[in-house]
Amino acid sequence: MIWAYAIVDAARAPLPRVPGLDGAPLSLVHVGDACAVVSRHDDASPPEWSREALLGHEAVVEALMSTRAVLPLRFGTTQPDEVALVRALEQEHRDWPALLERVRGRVELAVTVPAVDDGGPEQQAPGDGRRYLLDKVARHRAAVDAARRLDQAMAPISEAVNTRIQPGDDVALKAAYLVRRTHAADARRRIESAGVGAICTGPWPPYSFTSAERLERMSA
Amino acid sequence: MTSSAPRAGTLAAHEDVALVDLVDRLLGEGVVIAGDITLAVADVDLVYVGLRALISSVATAERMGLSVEE
Repeated sequence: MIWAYAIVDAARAPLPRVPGLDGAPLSLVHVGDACAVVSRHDDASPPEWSREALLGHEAVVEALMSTRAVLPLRFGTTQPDEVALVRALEQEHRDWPALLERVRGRVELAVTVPAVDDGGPEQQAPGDGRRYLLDKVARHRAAVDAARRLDQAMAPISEAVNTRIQPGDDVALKAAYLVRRTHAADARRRIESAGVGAICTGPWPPYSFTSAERLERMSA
Repeated sequence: MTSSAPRAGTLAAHEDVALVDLVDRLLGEGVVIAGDITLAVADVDLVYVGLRALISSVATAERMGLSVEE
């Protein structure tokens, strides 16, 4: 069984010296003009998805990102063998080299805008349906407005954005911005000073920008 | 921290957010191909809980982007 971490360009840069899951060494599998980074495991079942496995997978992807363009694969991507992996990746019909060029030297900044704690619709007097609906509308408007302000603050350096408006009790919206790695610190400042109470984490590998469609999205 | 340092208590919130951001990305984003294992929602909740203790380590926090400056 092989475990796949990411799709990378076919550069000759050596693989990073980080171990794969269960300490297994990393190797490359060629997929057209790109490569998949994998580790091989004797057992037919995938390694346990323990916290160590999650962080180990992430460590591999981040180490790869320091020397190559990287499209992370979702945690848990396993195939019986190389042939099956290549077939599965080719079936996606994505232009991997073009996508890799698009994310080369880029990182993802994650944005969370917490919901304003106004008591929430659920804490209103029961039976006050009109108030409940008005609050929901107000929350949605506030989230959309926050997304617009973030987009404005990020406009000079953002190359793509994925925004999820999800006004709830805890979170108003989540967004991911793709920026040049050299702009990561600037992006963090822009996000945190946009006046919407946003919390920024990253820079992350470009998890949210692994398809042409997602790379083209520019506004909320 | 700069002069715009967050209020006391915000750092803990940052750690929680970084944890959620990490798991969101590992389990909810990235390239999906046929044959993936998928985790049940209850399993994902356990992953969040299991990672919670780990995030307090400095190295992990740094890797998750919690350091203020690059």
